[in-house]
Amino acid sequence: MRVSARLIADEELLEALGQDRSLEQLVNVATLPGIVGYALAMPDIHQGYGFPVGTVAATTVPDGVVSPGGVGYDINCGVRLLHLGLTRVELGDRIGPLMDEIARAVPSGTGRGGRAELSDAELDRVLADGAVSVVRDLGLGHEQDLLRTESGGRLPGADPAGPSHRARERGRDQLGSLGSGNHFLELGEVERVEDPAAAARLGLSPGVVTALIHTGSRGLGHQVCSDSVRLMMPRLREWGITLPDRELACAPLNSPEAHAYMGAMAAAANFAFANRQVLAHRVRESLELVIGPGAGSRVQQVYDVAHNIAKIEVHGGRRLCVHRKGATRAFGPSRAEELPADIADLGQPVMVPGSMGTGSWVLLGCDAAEEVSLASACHGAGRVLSRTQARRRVSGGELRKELEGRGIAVRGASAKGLAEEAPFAYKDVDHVIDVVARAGIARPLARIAPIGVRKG
Amino acid sequence: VEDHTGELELSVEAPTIAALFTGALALLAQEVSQAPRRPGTVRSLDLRSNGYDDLLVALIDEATFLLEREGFVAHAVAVDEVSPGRLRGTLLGVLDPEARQLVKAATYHDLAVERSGGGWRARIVLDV
Repeated sequence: MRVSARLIADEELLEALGQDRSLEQLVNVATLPGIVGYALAMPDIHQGYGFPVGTVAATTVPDGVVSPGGVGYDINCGVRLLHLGLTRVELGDRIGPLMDEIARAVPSGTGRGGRAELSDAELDRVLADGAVSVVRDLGLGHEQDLLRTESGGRLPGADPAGPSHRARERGRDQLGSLGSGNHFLELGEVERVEDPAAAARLGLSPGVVTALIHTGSRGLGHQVCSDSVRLMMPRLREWGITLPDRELACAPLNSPEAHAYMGAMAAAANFAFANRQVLAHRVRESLELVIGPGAGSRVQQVYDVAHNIAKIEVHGGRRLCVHRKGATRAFGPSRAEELPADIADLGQPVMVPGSMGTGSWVLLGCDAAEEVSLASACHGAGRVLSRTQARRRVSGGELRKELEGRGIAVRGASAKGLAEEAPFAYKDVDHVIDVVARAGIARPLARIAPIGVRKG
Repeated sequence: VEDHTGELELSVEAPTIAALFTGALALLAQEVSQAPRRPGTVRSLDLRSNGYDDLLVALIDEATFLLEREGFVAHAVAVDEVSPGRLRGTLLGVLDPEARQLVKAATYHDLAVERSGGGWRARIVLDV
């Protein structure tokens, strides 16, 4: 190990970790060349491949390395939260028709792509400019959406020619689609707020209806990661790098391979920002159709944040390559210049989806996170059961019935896929949030209860 | 299919390396599709690699690509040529527009393809 590992957890979470190999994987991360500080684990950590899910690791620039596995295959998987400008009471019994319309407008994980194939030129613009291209070139969304998106919805340094031909083919028809697995589009109701004044500035008051979009860069990003791991692996010996796990494959930041990866990764990240931008527009369109003219224009974006990404950031006066895999940036108010001007004094919004059927949280990043967690927080509740274990405990049909009995409209999931995402397969999100708050890295702002789920 | 908290882990044993690759595809097909297997739908295959383990990753990635782009669910491979550096043959499968696009990629984490007794065994973790 080149540095120590630091895990943010309490006894209960620590005990649960003993059942999988996440701590062993965290120790492996601590062997990366150029790693500084700690190999950091968030309270939602669970076993992954190479890096465990819920990890933050920073390397020095330019002497350290970048590891595609430290970002993950779903580059810029992330979440976007919208408030819909209406309350649960105002929505009334139109939740069913609204979920039907969203299910029609938002393709999900059965091999279907988005609504249209992008031309090469359109795809190049999306890869270069991300959500900016969707708003300004395609007219889907508002400038205000961009202000409320991490990095303005466009990661700098993107190389549209970076993703391979196969990566482009995989992404060409997938803009505006959810994908599968744990991806979703969830309607919710703000259940309670911890700081009413701050929450109101984000449009989050009790009873307000929200939409939470969880997806990433789809096949395009997956292919960028696959291609990059394959490219780097044979060069490791030449670079003098020995690793305990091949999936930690990495490249020195000053190497052509690292430059190529960073350019292609940024392009894939931009595809993900664009994807969530299109999906937000589909929510607005669905509201126009179901609620009526003008309903879409009342939708405001709370924030959009990545939880699988590598970025060059300055911490403690040093330029670092910060890998966040299943972890969310959580800048406090002291980094105001990197936050939306109108809410910079609050700290960065951090969205933490819970398991399907429980609840989700909005947090605000705190300055203490800089020291404790390299300005990072958790990204979800974190799995505790494998998909096969979850399927053994409940059938998709039973779960659908239970969720609908609790007033949660479920659309689009296969029975198998639904069972795999059963709430009991995840840690208690409220407990995870409590640990985050006690660690001082982010403060709870609002809890959102689900009322409708479009499953990936 | 093994218990893995975050991802999907496949373990396969087979008498030959060709049967091992078919076994991995069959497990994957079982996870993503319920369509009945019918003969007739095929895709040609020619993969280059740096060893049998690398070949397994390439094979799963190829199956993932075909599922995503065409809804083609590969459940077996008819091998014409196999060596640590190459797998050439035909993928057998079905077209299933309802198949789950579950797998993002095959990973090298804990990857193993090795001889076991008189046969072969493999372990591979897939990102889902």
